Amino acid sequence: MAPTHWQRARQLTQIASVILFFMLAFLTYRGFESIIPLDLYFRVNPLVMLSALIAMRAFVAAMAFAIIALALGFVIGRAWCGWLCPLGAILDWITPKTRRVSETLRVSRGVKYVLLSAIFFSALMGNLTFLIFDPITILNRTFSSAGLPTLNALILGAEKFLIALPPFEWIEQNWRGTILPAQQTVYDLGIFIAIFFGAIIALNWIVPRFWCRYLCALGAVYALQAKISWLRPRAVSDCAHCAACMKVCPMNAITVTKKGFTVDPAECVVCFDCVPACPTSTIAITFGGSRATQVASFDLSRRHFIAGAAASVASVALFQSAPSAKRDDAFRVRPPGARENNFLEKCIRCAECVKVCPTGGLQPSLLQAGLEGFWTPILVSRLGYCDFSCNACGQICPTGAIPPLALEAKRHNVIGIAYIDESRCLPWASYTRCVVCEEMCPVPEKAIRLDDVDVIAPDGTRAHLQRPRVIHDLCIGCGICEYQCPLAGPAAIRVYAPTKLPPRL
Amino acid sequence: MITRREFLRRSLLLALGGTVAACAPKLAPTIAPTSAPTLAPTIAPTATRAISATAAPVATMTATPIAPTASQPHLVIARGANPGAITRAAIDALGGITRFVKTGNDVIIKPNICNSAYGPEFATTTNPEVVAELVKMCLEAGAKRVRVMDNGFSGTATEGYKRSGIRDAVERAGGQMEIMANAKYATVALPNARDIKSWGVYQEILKADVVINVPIAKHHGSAQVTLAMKGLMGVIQDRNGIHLSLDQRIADLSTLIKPTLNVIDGVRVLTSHGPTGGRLDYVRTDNTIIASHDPVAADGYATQLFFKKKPETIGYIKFGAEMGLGRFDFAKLRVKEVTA
Repeated sequence: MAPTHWQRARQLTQIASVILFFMLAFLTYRGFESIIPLDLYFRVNPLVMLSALIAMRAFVAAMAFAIIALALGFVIGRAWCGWLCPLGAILDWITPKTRRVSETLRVSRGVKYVLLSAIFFSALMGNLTFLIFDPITILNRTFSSAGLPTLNALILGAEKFLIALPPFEWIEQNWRGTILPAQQTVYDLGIFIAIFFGAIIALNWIVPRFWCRYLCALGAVYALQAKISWLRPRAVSDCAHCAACMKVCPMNAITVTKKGFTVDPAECVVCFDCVPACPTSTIAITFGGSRATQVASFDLSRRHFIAGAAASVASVALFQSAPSAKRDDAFRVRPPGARENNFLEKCIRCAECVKVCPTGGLQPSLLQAGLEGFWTPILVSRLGYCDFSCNACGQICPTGAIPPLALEAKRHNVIGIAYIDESRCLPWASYTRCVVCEEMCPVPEKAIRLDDVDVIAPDGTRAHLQRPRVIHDLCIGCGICEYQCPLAGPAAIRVYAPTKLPPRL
Repeated sequence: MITRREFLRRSLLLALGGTVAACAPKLAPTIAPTSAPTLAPTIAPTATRAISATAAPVATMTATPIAPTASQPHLVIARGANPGAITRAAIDALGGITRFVKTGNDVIIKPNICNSAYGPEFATTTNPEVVAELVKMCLEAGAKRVRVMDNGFSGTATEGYKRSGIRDAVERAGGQMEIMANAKYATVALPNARDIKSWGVYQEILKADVVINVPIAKHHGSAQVTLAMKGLMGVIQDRNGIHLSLDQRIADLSTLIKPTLNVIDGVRVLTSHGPTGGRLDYVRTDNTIIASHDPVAADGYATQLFFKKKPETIGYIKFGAEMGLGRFDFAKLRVKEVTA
């Protein structure tokens, strides 16, 4: 069966959308100026816009595009899912060849509404943790903390043998430090984030587009709108009840019984697969039309919303069981300018800052920010420092959770304070010269100073040594000292979350 | 039995899985075995501290310092308000660029672009006009290619090249910036070194016909001053490992890495809070260039002139002279001063 024009158009749109998504993701590096906003896919995302609106009680101007998307939803229903969603496209492409026709999990379609309700209710309580289930954040986070490091490792691995070849030389000279990270980036949770993504793909083997059918909260937003949307498949003449359309529908939105053809618009992604499948050309996808009775019963129920509300209340209460609820994690070092008192209601877990950080120091957190701050960004200085010449995270953050500080302001922003472990630091503990940390300290007045001391080593020799000492009033917590400390394992100088210090004597 | 296609598919999946796993963080930064501090507290750097498990391949450097003829000076100091003009005057006084660069040579110029935080007015990176003038002179001498590179310790090379102003100046002059690729470093033996037996060195530096080292004169917390010899830390791996016995190991690097020519940029001098600086009141304008084929002489003279210290008080300069890498007995050297 040759694909129709509409099917062809949909395929091309999906390809274009996936290319655009990854192009913007690759171009999300410091200093790149783009005509198309680099965070476009977050700006057009009504789920992100609505939950941020609820959590912040304020509208983020950059998300005005999402209002258009929302308005379109009332007209074209879940067409986003079938045509534009990059995750949806990937799920369409990586799918088993033989489809299961029967669906035993139909009742589970309600799960996405439970999830949506949970997102909105916890947003009401000022928490956006459940946005980790937004398809765009999933894709971006997977790309930033697993996909790109993997690609980069492949390139660096190949270069060990092939650096002399022109393409690799060209990549190094033109992409290194911009499209590709300057150094191999590593992420604490990269492998888990990759498994999370892999699991979403693997669910396709249970039924096609498992994620979209049962779990996607963004899909749920559009599904709610699709209930009254104009665009949907209809049987425009008498249906022969052959059920051919039902077999090809990737969302199982169509039900054909002896009574006739019914469609669940909340599930229809307007893919047009049913149109050419119909042997009698009965089915057409049209705007409006009279056969409204062909609509199947809607999955959403009051029960789902109550379940979602209960789940969110229970979760937010469960968050209190994490250690951070009692005492702040010592290493919860936030990106420059981010303030803990409103960070969780602003951070949509999109991982744009993780992608843009040129040193790879910004990482999605596990428990450092508590369960309520799961996958929010923290600076892990041992893996990458906050570059003194960079303010990119604040520039890219779509919601202003990381404020867009000017470079000069960012240089004075205290994100943490370094402390020296004198029991491990080489000049302190091993009578060895070192002071890499002092050399690296970018603060113009040097937040690390050197004490000149004459010491007697355990073997009796006298020596002159320089020992580093942190001037806490000057330290901004950038972490380059911790990153560069030559000690194996944890550094002998570590950046802790800032503590309010008592005035000096 | 599995089919070939199936075998390939599984192998590919396995390889992909392995690569993903390899991206998991490795908390311990690798330190070359030579830099591991021994448990016994040793204060003076000694050869016994070096541990080398396997012998690294012996390498030679193509470029080599070009000693002066009897009529040429060992060292030139050029002064004047125009950085490009005094650079040219210094090289001309040494005997002209053709003493160092021949037609068809592949040239690398190595400035100091140690971080990406500031523009040239802060004197943390080499003056772009000085670098550009050298690029022009090399091309005038018939060099087939002039590349400019440094591996800094903070920020990315892309950003550093841009913010230092060196990228624009070099490209205008006809040279090209090279981002130093990880794959082009290799561990090589340092048979004449005292403390380290081998280290990772950027291979292009060893292969180029001519290497011109163009450091900027800066204060440095632990080494006191950073000049030509210390600048070589920008062409090696694991620079932090060098710090464990900084002075000796800097001198050790110079046993293998011997630039054709050293040009010390003293147009602006960073007088304190180096090597990073960050305030204009740390910067003193000296409008001076020091050039010599001998890194010990160049560094020694710069130490005297810019920092008012005796060369022998700087550990790596003293070790360099002891190890025969150069000399700072200026009374016996032909030192020439010019103005432009």
